[in-house]
Amino acid sequence: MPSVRKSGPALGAREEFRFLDDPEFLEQYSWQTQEGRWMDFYVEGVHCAACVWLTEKIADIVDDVGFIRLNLGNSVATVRIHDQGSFSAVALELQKMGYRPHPIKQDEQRGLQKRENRLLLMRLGVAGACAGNIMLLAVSLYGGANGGIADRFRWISLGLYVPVIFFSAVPFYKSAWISLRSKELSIDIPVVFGILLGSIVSVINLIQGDDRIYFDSLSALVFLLLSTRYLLKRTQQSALDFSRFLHFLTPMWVKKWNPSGQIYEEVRMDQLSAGDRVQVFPNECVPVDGRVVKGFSSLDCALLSGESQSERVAVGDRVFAGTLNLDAPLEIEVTQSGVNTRMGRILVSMEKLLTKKAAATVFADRVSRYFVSAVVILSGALIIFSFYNSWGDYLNRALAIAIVTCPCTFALITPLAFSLTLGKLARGGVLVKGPDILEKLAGVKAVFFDKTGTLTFGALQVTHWEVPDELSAAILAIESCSVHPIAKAMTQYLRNQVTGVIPQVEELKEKMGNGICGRVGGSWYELTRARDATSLSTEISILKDGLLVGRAVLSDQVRPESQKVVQLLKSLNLNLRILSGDHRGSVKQVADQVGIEFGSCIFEASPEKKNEVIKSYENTLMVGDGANDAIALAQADVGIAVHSSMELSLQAAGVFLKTPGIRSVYHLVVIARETLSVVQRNFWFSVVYNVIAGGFALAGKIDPLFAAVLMPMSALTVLLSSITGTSRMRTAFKEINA
Amino acid sequence: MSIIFILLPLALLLGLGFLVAFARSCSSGQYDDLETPSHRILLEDEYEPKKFKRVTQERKIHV
Repeated sequence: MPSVRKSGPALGAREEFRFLDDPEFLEQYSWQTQEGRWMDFYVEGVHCAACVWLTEKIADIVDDVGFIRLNLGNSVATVRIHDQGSFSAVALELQKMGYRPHPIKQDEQRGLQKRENRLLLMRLGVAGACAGNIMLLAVSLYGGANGGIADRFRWISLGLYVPVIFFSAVPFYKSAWISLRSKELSIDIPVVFGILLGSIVSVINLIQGDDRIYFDSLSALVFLLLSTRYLLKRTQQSALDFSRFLHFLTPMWVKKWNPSGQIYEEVRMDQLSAGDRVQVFPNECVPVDGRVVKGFSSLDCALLSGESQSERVAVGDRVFAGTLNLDAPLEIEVTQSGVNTRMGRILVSMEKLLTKKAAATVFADRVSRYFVSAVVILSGALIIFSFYNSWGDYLNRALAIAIVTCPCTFALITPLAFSLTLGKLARGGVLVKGPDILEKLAGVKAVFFDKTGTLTFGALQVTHWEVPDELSAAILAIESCSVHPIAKAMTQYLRNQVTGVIPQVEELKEKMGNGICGRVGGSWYELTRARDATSLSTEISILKDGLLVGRAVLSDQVRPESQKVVQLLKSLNLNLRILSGDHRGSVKQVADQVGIEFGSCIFEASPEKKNEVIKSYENTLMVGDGANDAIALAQADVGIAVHSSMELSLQAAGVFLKTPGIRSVYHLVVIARETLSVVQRNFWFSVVYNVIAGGFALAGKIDPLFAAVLMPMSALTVLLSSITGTSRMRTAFKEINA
Repeated sequence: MSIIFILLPLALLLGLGFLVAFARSCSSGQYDDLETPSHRILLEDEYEPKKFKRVTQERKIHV
């Protein structure tokens, strides 16, 4: 047998990151330069200057690290190691500091995104510089400059306007062209129409010596629209694209039994085939679907089924990939591996659901398009009309309409309101993947909660302790030797109770799936599971030299804030349900505690069943954490993955809560609704503004100066309205940040 | 008023200079991360000429 000891926590951690050194993995996730090998990690839990200092200290702690730099904005650390170094050492060190690292896949898209961001910023900068200078010149023109100076100023304005229209405005042309080709109406079409028409007419007027030129308004328009787009893009990207995470539910290396050599060999997962036997130690994930052929242990199936109690398995029982072995070594005969396991199939169907989901557009955007198109048609008609009449006058009226009415306010409304909301939410630890998700959130009617880990803590805690104080130290000594969840919970509880020296454990024996015994200070202690209640709790009997001296009760507690959040959500007239894979009893207990009517709860639901349930409702919101929720999160109109989730559910969900528990869920729904009402408010303002301004333009009452004042004013109103939001929105943001 | 024929090109040239500076800082990746530098300023400086060199090298790669 190779030198694989029974894995303690430290060794387990190192094993956990060994995949980082696999050549095939490095191929996909790292890149090579002359200086060494690079990899990007998403680092969970970094948020302040101290985190920056600590993570970047790794360069001094680990010898192989040549460079490490953390970006707090998106929690990504870029690491460079020397050619002989290993990334697993870096990951282990990060893990030890309390920041969980996740490698990020390097693909072309990632590099492309960076370049695109920089280019967009450059376009924005150029537009800003040119618009500012044009405005300076325009002020003196409006102020009454005349003669040769005015003429030169106009030509210089044109010179400054050239980079705006040929460089800065390019994204608008592109997206307008794309939507034209796919025969769809987008807000960019009227924008481009206005810009092009305005430019052409202004140039013609300039040549003819007419003073109606609109370079100032047009360049300001381009600058304004670009800045909101840049803002929206940045806030959206800070929500990080979780789809680039790889999930590691199952270890990449497994211990396979080699019958000819009579030893266990370490092989990669993909080299397994049905009928092979693998060995799984305690605190390791079961890598395959299969049947137990040797051993007796209990498994933590929370990931797959959502059950809070562990499940005992013996020879002949079926086990599934993604479950965690708790007590004793198991030998498993493989029936399915890789994507054919139950876990693998869940993953595949989740990915299918995600690719089906197309990004929707926000309502106000859809309406704006039609309104704005009407304006375009109107000004188009005016142009045609102008052919038969005095050419210049009507053309200029058409131009005034195009510039003053169309694009600006309408194109600003949604990106502005949404980017502001998304940005503020991100600062409060709520990451939303896109604007369309906010709109769907506002329309949610049915809310489904997962139980374990979402409404409850998802981990056992000591709730009742009936043991003489003088024995606590000895029990702590024994329990801290085990990695079983019960032992971990008791250790955590006792650490706060016991002061002074923890005695030496002289002898230790784990009883398969039933508890732990040990000799401390000459006395023989036995800690055994008394009985598994059908509800949430587990009872432990404590024996000293064969005599019962105490008992402890451990249970998965309901989070303190769950009840309040449930009540608040009810006040929004939402239909609340628990959708859990756990047993009837535990679901009922939690439902009663948080105040959800048990009659409408669904229990003992497999991941596949959860999906079916969600499908049968409309406007659904799923709040969950485990892999067992992944399909449901993807199926629901909006999925919220709570903190400490599996990477899998992060991929599936549209929203990710950085803080544990469901505290932010209520505020999030409120904010989504209020953001929509701000959008609506701005929308009606724009309609009124456009009707009035359009009327003036039609009557030929608008000149360049009027346009130059009116347009920024309307944009400013929309901006102020978006920034102020509503009072309910402001309170909700305060609560989230609290 | 003829002074304006000197001042205006000068002003535009100055603006152009700043625009070029912006373009350079933009393409070197200075604006990729807008949050961390504000925190990093709180950290103690370690004067290490070698380390400083490494950082500038890194920037080239990311371009």
